[in-house]
Amino acid sequence: MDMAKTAAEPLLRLEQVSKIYGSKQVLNGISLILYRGESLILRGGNGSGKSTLLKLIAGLIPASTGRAAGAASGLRIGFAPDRLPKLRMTSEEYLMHMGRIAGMAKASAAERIQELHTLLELPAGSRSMLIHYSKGMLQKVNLMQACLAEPDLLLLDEPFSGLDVNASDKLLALLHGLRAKGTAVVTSLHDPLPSWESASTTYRLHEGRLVPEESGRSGEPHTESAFYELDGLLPEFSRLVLAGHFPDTAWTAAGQAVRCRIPASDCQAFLHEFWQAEGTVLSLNRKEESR
Amino acid sequence: MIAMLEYVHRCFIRSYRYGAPTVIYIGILLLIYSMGNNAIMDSYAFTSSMLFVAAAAIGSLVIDVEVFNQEMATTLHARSLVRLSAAKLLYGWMFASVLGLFAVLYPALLGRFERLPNVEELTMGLLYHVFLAGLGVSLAGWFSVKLFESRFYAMLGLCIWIALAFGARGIAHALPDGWSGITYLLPPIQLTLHALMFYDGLPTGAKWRPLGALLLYAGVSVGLLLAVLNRRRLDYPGE
Repeated sequence: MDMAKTAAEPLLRLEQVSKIYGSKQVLNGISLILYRGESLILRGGNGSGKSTLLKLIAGLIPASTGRAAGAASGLRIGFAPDRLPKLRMTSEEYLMHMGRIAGMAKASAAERIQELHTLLELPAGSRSMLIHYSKGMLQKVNLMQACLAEPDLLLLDEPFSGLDVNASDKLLALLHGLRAKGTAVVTSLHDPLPSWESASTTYRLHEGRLVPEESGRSGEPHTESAFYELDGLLPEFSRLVLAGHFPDTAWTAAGQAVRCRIPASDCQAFLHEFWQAEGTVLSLNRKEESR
Repeated sequence: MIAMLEYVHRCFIRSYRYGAPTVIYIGILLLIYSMGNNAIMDSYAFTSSMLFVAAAAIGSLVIDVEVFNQEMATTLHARSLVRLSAAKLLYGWMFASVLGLFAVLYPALLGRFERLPNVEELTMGLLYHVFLAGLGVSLAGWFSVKLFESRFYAMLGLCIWIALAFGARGIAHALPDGWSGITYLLPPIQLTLHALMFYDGLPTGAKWRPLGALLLYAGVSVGLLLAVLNRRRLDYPGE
């Protein structure tokens, strides 16, 4: 899968990489080139191999076949696993240890830890240990350790899991900032995140293969199609206008209450017009349909 | 390396995993030295072989002190699983060596021997304890969830290997002619026990040779272990 990019040297290159556990082929012939400042989103169902691919990109596990180059050549990689265990340390103790192990000076590590606590709105200087943290607070510490040393490559496994809306916005700001500095970001995601998707290339892992999200619409071998289901309130006149603009969207209406089934490709534009028409979104869910 | 040692120390101490092997080992020391007039090197033979077992338990607990997700993050900060694992083994050795130092000094300072040990006895006693602690930790590294499906099988494997090491002499006698050499693959515990129990009658070379054997065995064991970990990385069989 060649992604023609700027003239910059690739940060990482995977060539026909496969990963087999016993008789199960988790990844099959994955090829990927990653450049500085690039952002990739990995989608796929549970057990589709997203976490395995992230670990493989990080160099944490070896490939069964194929070649992964770059991860072992002095790249600074930040990795946030799907969840951080509850440790008997305060967030500052843990992050200071990680910073020192990564080779940061004590003073600069302390400064960075303070900065990240402020950015993600987690109280710094708390004497509470991580065993007493909520899921969202643990996730913030997890993300902080991954971003601590401003990595060249940042790998995030379900980073928004457990975060509230405000914290998600803060994380997005942090990720955009890191990208602007040249950090490549690979994120595995379940839930829709239009503001991050718009800045990223999205791939789907299906039966061990990596398929660009767009290819599902162009008829490439891909047996699932994504769509969004929106429940909301919209005046009838506006509904008729939107239905005209988005003929691929299926509607169910009862008075002002509507349920729309929106193709993934139209979602952003649809939402933009929906809000402009003063519609109220009650819920928005990403769904997949087997073909 | 110091940063990693500090981190492993905090993880290990706050996990309270050190409790069982430390309490049991110190309990054994208190029990055997509850009476005085003990033979010096015979006592050291016993306490050093017990330390080998305790160090194996400590090494096993230290090498798995981090859970998988935590270890992935730490490995990337350390930029090498080999360095992180080496730090854990080194820490386990240091921790067990402190127990060894206690085992050597406690009876000497409290007058639990038949006489006051001389400097050579104290030095050699300490070296045997420290080297056997290293041997125990070096073996424990193999019997962890990194290479075994479960902690139960890892501990079972470690216990079997330790039992085989203590029974090496009997196994050598029981094997058919020409096969006894295979027991050289087992940890050289019998060699050290023999050297300490017959210490006074041995020439100088025979007193140092078991230490060399321990160093060689532990060094090869750690080297091979780190090479295997470098190859497998965090591809845990249980994952």
